[in-house]
Amino acid sequence: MSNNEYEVVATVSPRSLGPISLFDAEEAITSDNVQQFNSDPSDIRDSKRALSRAGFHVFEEASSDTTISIGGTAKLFKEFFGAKLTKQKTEIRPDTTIEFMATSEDPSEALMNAPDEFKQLIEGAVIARPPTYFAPHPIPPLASVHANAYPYMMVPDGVGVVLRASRVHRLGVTGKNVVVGMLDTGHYRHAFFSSRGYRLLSTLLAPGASDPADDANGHGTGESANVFACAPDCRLRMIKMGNDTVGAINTALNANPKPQILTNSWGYSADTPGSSIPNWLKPLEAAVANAVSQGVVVCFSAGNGHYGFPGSHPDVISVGGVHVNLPDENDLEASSYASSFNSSWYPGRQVPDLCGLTGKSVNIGGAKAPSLMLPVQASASLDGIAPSTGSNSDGWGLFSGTSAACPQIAGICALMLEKDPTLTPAEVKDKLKKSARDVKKGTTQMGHTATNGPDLATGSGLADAKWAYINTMGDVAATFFSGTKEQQLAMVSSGAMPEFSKEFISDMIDTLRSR
Amino acid sequence: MANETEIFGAQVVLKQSDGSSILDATESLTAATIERYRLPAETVGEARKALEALGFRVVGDDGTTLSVEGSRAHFAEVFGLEVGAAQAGVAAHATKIPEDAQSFVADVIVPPKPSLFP
Repeated sequence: MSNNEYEVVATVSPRSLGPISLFDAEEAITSDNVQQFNSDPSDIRDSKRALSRAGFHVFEEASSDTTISIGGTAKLFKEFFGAKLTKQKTEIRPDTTIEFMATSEDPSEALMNAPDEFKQLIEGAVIARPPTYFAPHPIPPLASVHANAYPYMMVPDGVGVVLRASRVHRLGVTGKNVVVGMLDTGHYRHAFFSSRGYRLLSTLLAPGASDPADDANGHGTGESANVFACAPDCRLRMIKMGNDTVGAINTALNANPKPQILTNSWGYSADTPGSSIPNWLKPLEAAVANAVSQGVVVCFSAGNGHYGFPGSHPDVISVGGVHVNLPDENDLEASSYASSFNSSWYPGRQVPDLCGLTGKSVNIGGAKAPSLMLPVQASASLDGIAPSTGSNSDGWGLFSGTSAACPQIAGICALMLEKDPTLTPAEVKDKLKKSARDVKKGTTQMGHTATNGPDLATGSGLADAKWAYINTMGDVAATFFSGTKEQQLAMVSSGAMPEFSKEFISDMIDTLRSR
Repeated sequence: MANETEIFGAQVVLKQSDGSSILDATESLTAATIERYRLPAETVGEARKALEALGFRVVGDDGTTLSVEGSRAHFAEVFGLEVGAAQAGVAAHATKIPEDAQSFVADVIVPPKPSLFP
């Protein structure tokens, strides 16, 4: 039986060593005086024995030298302590109310007295009332990661710096006026987002989805932080998915404002060697094609050892994983956690196109990739993923498969589209691939090893937001220099031609040297 | 026991005037080819009305399919569709199509939930 299966949980105080009962103490109980409220080990032992015999469950792991925690039915508490228990409600976090059995909070009824035969042994007991969970902190905890694990990174800084998005932000390009749609498990309003002033449009429910404010999994909330790490001023629209992925894409395309970019950290491991596309995935194939034909940039994760579809669809930007071996931010390797494969459905299609940042596989009681500390709904499934951040309800989790890499690339696309909104999905993909940093080592989960130049392991390599931005702007510069005097004047007067400051040139030289 | 009132989303694959649909495509469906399979807006509108008349909520379309919502029991009754299969990781398909919908419905599909890649 688990702890939450006991109808009532209470805290019992055996006879204190000092002259005053724990419940009668008038002075503050601190580390200076708590010893007098501790109990003799024999009294603790006898109290536990008596309570067990009465039918209570004693939570050994939750008991101390001062108190004993017990669980049981309301009927048992009534019979043993004579307690008057009623059903009560409390809001433990915004929009979450739970019911529990408890005594009145009135002091005369709150303290439950032991039966006469145990009065000398047990001072009394109080019902354990559920606490209110405070909103998760906007700044992540410092986690003691498993001994086998590598250093992890924070959002937005770690991702922004290694992908060189931070350098683009310093030029004033931050994804302004670009709407990124994210199809995922929902979005919880974590303080991480509000404290940084990130712009979140209201969550839309896709067919079969419910409760827009809830992200019990944590995946959507956590991965969305990667978008903002690269494009802090974009507007993010979460589309909470139900069972129907095609309906989710159509919901996104019908939204107002319509997203220019869709980021998808999910897929079906279906494009396996020797297979052909099943009929049930053709509506999804058509939905992706339809989105791209409307000019929407669609990004999909390649998978974590999966043969991910739609990650293999020819129209999408297929995102794989590269791991950075900190502290050297230029020490890059293909992630052993990420997918890479030749599509069986689309001849010549290689997955991925390029990569974002992921962890690499490390055995910490099961293969994990704990490279990023991401915000999640407190007590969500991913709040408890290994390795622990110190608590399973602190609203933070360590995870970073290609689900993290995909929204990073979507964020970089937002920077490019802010700079040049006329770019087509194919042009965005082409410029991203041309500007990526080559990755020359490391082996993916499928066994493909990165080498010089484009390869199956990482595609064109790790995305470089700064170079992608320069590449985007570079075409403007090329148009300017090849244009007539009139065209050049028109470009300058319309603001299409950027000004090159000394600082910009200096930054470009620095960028070139570090590639 | 399955909750018969639980709401699910499904894709209604639409037929073109010649009776074919994306399910018959022998080429990949991409941005370059999808236009060939897109139905006229008027036809999609008629299909939308017909599905609403059958008791489904139409929540979107992409020109080749319609996204509809309905209860497990209603999908089973109208299309003989076992939504539970999708929860078990297998796509569910229509096993029957009402006579008055046969001219425009090629199939009704409920996909299984996708994998997340955390």
